[in-house]
Amino acid sequence: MRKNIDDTLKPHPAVKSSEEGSLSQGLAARFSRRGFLKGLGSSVIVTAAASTGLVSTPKVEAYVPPVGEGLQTRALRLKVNGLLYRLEVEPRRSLADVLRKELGLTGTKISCNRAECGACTVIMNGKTVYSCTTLAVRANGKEITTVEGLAQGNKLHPIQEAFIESDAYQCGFCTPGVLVACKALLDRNPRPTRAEIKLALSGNLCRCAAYNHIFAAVEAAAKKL
Amino acid sequence: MANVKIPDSVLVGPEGTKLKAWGSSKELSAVGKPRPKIGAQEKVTGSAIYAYDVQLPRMLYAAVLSSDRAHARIAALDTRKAEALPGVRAVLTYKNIEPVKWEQEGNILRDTVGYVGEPVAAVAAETEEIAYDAIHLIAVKYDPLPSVIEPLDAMKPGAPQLQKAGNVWQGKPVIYKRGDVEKGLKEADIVYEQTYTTSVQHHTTMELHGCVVQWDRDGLTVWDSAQGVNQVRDQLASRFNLPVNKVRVICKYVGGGFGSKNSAKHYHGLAALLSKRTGRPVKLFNTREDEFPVSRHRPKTIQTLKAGVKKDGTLVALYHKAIGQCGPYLDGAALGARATGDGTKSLYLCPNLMTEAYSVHTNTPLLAPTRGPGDTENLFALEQFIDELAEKVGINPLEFRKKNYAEVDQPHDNHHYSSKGLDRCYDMAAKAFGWGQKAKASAPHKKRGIGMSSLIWHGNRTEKSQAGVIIQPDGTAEVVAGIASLGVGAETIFTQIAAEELGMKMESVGIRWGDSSSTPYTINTSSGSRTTAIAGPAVRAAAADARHKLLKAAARLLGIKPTEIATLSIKDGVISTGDQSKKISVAEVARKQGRELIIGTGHRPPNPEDMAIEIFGAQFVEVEVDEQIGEVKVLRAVTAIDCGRWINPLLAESQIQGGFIQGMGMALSEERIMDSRNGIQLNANLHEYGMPTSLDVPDTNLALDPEVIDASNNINAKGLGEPPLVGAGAAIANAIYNATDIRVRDYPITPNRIVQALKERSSGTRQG
Ligand code: FES
Ligand code: FES
Repeated sequence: MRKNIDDTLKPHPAVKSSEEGSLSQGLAARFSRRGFLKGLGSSVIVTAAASTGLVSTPKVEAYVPPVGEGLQTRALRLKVNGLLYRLEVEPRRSLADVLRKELGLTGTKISCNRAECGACTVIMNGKTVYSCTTLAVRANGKEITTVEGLAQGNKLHPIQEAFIESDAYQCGFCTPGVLVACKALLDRNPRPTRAEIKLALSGNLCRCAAYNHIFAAVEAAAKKL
Repeated sequence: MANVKIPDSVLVGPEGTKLKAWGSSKELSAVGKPRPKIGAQEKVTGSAIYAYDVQLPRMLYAAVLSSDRAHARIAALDTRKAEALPGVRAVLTYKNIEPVKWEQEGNILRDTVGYVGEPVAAVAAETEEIAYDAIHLIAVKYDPLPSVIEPLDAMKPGAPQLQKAGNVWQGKPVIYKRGDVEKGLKEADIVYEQTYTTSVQHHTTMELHGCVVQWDRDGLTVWDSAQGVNQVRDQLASRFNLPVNKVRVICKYVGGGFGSKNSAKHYHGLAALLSKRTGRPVKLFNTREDEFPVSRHRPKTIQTLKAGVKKDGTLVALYHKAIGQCGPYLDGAALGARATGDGTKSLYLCPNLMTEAYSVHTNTPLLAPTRGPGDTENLFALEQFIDELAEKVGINPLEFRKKNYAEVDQPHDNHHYSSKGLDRCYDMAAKAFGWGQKAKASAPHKKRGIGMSSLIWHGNRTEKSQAGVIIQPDGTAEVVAGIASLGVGAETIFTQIAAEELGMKMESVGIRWGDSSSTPYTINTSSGSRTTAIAGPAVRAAAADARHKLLKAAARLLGIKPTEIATLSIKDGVISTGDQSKKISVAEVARKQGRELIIGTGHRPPNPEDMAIEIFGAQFVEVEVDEQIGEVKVLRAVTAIDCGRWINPLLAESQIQGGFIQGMGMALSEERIMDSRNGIQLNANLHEYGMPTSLDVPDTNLALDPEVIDASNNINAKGLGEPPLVGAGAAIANAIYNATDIRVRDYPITPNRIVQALKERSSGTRQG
């Protein structure tokens, strides 16, 4: 039942060893190429993904938190769900806090805030991480996918469709993290066995215990992919 | 279960009409059908807003400093450094807080603390980080007071007295008697006694407990994570002495409740007072560590059962004594005395019976209802005991239960049940499970075993409930219900009920809920598995009223006499006469009505007086026990529950599967580990607390519907939220015994306990 203590130190079980940091260079290049506008009175700047070549630059109304006594802010560049953001953060802010409080992406939840439940799971450079225990500054230059990035516009990802059809959630609070972990699993293993599904989700707690329906949903989505 | 007579009193319709008694779900169009939940899209895209997600302009963040002493007086409290920290806007302690009575013991913050985790001070600051920085700058000096942690210690003479009436809640046990237990034991051929213990179970909702509060001249607005918007609204209005119409509680989605999010709690009060003081909205959410004490829990219990049986297996006497641990205050204490519940009193026919329940005050956190409070603790013990009794008389445990089957509710004047499908549950679950056969274990050091348990959960009493159904100008219907959504799908079920009554398609019926200011008083809070059975009938009544008004309007438009509207019916949104000669769509009627909306209102008729209402079920499991490391793997679970009509089988399956897994957690791994010298919990985190993970879940977790039509209300439903957890523990314990021949009577049945028991058995210090 209990996870080994060491497990908390390991990456999320859905993680596969992969190339890290390859994006950061590309991102940095892209940032300088586009010559980011400095938003008036805001610490956040967002632009549409470079590849779309959009002329208009959507702005995000950002909350600008005051900085704790004696702390220096650090500049941060993130690509989240295809949008580029530049912001200044306290070095102690977690990625989860930045996503939720500063970018308004409240789909990512925080439940334990110490790498034990998976509610905050996001994909960073292709790997799932617990964003509650990832310092935002460590995500600098990385590409992040949150639950808000799973659907393409109004078109839900097959795993989202399957969650609805299978009633794979009850309260839904763990669901964003679970969905992200499922998506990461299906990305690297489109035909997972039941045992592989269980293992991939073993870092995501669901107190409503919707597990049986979650397993069924992953299997249903795998069939559609 | 056809041919159930539904009393006319529960089928009261608008203007002297009578509602149709619904037949089997196969004959219905919306009720009884599997439907995904309303709000599904929000939940899978991350756009569902929980209180935890609310961010308001100028919002402050609050943090709470809680006691690290079990019992102490605050000798000195210095908040100067915290107040001086830039970004801090308010610090509340007992010294400067306005008097607001929160528990029977007095003010919301006091100069004494009675358990580790009790709030001592609260801070509001510009950021969460600054609020926690400030908390760490508050210096508290405590003068210790004598404390007691373990309930058995608290019952000893000379223990520190925590309440005027003594450490036993109300100064005496709660006693129930029928017949003469002593006499019954003398008449028995076999007398048997055993003691069982159950551990604290925490709710560990994934959304932490907390709220966002804005208190200004217009009143108090709370974005809450609550099981009931009306209950929190009423309680805050009364505690702050505000008119009810100045308090608004908004809660669309709750990230898990399980009993812990009933009532206005400390955090509501502190957030409100911080908002009042600063003039800013304040967000206060526990940290996960604080959450363990503050969100409260299921009591741990020590239970002794003694029974007399005849050689043929007839139960003639039953005695049940239960000691439950509660906190130092009266708040929540009643929950410590509920383990001698309906299981002992009602489940089996027994003429001589006595129960004795003690809730014992200790310096530990307070209790809250925890999914299936009382009956769960009861059945975890009782249903192991019943298996032990069956073995003593040499009867198969399932046969033993059937032999002592109770057709009437003994503690309630032997009333007949509104329905009792327990026999069907036994049979269908046993059949689906393959009762009697166990497969071979997967390795020589592993053992397979099977076990079962009955379950019971007390049905709802008569309660008032009202709901509305609005026919909008485009012909769609909107149910209006004062509930919060816990995720079980009550709101979805309500739309099914309304669609059925209105004769409209599911897609045309929506619902508005989760805001105390724009919905009626449908339920105070969703607890006790009551929402469907209490509020569902009100929704049907409201839909019937809207239907009646629709038909009257249609009759006018079709030129039919008002006295003849009974000849009209609605199907798939079309109103027609019996011979189909005249027709008009609901949309057309609604369009003609324009802004003069058709608004149906309805209330719940009382339960029939001469019926007892209980929910029943049977749970069967197969386990594999690794005798080398003591690990138990639940391989299969089959649960059949008579909760009356299953309004939505898909959601019912979710409830049953999830409930079983929570029960499995309580049976095998979930436990509060507390240092009994100082009352400090040693595993106040999700990792060490040990709730089940995906790896622990059995692949077969079957939910079976015995298709019972209950007679107690107009939708024939009794309630399902809590029952699936109730029998899980004993079924697992019985299966472990079946596998290993050892009885572990202390829950959770951890690997440690199993290994220990096996060791004792091989060294001859233990039998069975
Ligand atoms: S909130 Fe990050 S793992 Fe629990
Ligand atoms: S759906 Fe409630 S915690 Fe998973």
